[in-house]
Amino acid sequence: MREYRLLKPEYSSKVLGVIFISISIYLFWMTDHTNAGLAAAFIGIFTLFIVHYATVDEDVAVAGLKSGVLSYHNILEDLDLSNKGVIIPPNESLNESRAYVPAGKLESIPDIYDEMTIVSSGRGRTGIALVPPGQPLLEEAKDRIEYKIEGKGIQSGRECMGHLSKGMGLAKSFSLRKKGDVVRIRITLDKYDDYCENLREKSSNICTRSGCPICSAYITSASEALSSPLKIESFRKEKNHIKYELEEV
Amino acid sequence: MEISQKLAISITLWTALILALIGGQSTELFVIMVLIGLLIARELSSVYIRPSIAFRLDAFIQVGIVVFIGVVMRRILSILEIL
Repeated sequence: MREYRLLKPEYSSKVLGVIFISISIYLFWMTDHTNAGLAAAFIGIFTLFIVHYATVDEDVAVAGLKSGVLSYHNILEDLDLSNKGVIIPPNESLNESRAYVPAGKLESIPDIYDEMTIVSSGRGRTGIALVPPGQPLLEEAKDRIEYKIEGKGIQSGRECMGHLSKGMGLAKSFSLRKKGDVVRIRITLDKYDDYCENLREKSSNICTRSGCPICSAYITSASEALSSPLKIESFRKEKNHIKYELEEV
Repeated sequence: MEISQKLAISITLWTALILALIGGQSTELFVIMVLIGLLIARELSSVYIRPSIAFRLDAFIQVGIVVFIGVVMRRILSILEIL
């Protein structure tokens, strides 16, 4: 079916805005209805300036989310790096978070700097430190919060996750809990459930290394809010519920 | 439906409701009630809206606050019988 340009919200809102402003001019000049004129003018200007429509199709956005992360995990697969990842928040030597995937068993977290990708600090301290795939999504959510979440505690992590879920529509709901050193995140997916399944079919270790962009954004926000490196201990998916168990290291 | 469309519809309905209740009685009251509607919409939608829309909504609120200050000044001057 042909979609008429004028029927698209971004255009129809402009037409409606101009109609309301014209009505307001008529009411001001030709009648005594000042309040009605003011109301029409306000609605017209408000409609003209507020209605804004995203131009990227949902399918295109999902494909974009997939393309970057698949190549990221294919490289890690080729390097035989299948261990569980650690999300490291910014610190004195690091300006933005990193997903550290150790080459062997994690003994301790090596010193990681911004310019460092391949980490080689001796036995048990070798691996790769990459920008988490969900970092751009997290930055978008953080832009919507009026304060910096880094080190502000679990409540600021929850607020940030609220922006990721409700504000950006990445998930239907979430929960973030902390008991001792264990941090549990539960994400209930909605429209991105197929995306998650499809991605896991193509790269099985994706969820325990750093997570896909969506899960990675949630884990990184928890790590930044708690200001503590979080090691991915376990991952489970039941229906559309994703459950992560993370450990502070 | 986009959040910006929902905002535009809710503000239009709020303005229409205020117009129906106040009619042509008091322009000052009408302006203040519309400003209150904008503030409520901003607060309730703060989690859902993009920064660009929040910025535009804030601009409307700032203009509303300037008008509100004007209304208050006018009222003070009329009480002091200067105007």
